[in-house]
Amino acid sequence: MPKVLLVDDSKFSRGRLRAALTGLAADISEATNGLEALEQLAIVTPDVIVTDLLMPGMNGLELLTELRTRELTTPVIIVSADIQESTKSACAQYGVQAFLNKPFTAAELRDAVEAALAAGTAPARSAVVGTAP
Amino acid sequence: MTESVTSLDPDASDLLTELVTIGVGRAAAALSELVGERVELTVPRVHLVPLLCPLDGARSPDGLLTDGVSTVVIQDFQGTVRGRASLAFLRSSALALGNLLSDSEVTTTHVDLEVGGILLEVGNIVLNAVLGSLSNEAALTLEYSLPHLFSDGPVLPRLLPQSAGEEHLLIADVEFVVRNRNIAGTLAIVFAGGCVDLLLSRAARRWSPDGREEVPLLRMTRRNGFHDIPTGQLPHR
Repeated sequence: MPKVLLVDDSKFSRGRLRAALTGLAADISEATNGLEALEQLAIVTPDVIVTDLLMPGMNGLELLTELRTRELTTPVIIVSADIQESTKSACAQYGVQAFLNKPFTAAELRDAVEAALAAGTAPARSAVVGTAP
Repeated sequence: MTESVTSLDPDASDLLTELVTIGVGRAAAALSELVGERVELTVPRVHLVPLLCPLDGARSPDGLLTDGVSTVVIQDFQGTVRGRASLAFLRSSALALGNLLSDSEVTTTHVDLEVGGILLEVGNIVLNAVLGSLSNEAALTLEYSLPHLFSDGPVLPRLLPQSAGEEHLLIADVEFVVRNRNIAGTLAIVFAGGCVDLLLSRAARRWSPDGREEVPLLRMTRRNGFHDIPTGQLPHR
């Protein structure tokens, strides 16, 4: 069963992420920031990471930096309220699988996670980031 | 009555109104997606007030910023421009919104941890929609600080910087209705000195047909009154 790690400081948002993935045959775990995510990564490597950007402790971009520094190729999906084009470009530099804006629909997230699972590894850096319609 | 208020060139007024309208419309769309219901907007009113003037000048029509016991989400931003944004609700609206989005019925009469968490996320999404829209339209780059929630008093004191300079307070009063519930919110943004000028000149340049228009659009003048920018009806969702 594939493993999906959800990283968001908001309990409300984590609940929405988890609810959106209901029906997906996956083992879902949660972390409240990048540091917690890295702690979990030391034990189990997920198949997909779904992360917010703005979080206390370690934010999403810092988590991405750390993942790439460790040469981990786990696909990452960004789910953020930040709608700036410059932010999407910054994330593309890290080769994220998809960039979804909050609020997302369940179908958007499910499709993105399934595509990431099918891809298996993160796309090359600066690849075009998929966005929600 | 204020002594000194900001006078906007008509073109600047039109541009600022348009920028805010786009941002608020996007925020309403985001809220609609979040609650899964149609969100209707009343005619918004946009004001621009220099913080050097007495606080009376920053009184929003519903008094929420200065008088009301409200719940407010505040988020700082920095980058090409910097400042502080807020989304304020009357407590009844805050609880109604929390009730609408919570998995279980909210029975408390105060903003507890669960409702607070929901409001923080709603505020983050709505404020990012407005600020991000401004950023995209004016080709800015912004970084956001973590949002904070306050639920014990008027908003304006929390918006004011430690030492007031030439900051401008941009107030967008937007009332929106969610599924037969009157949930009203007031959006307010403080821009640091010179940032409204920069925002407008960047947007003017980006929107001009040849991409070259860069003119100082904001002028400080002394006159009585409160600058009130009428805005049109936003598209409903």
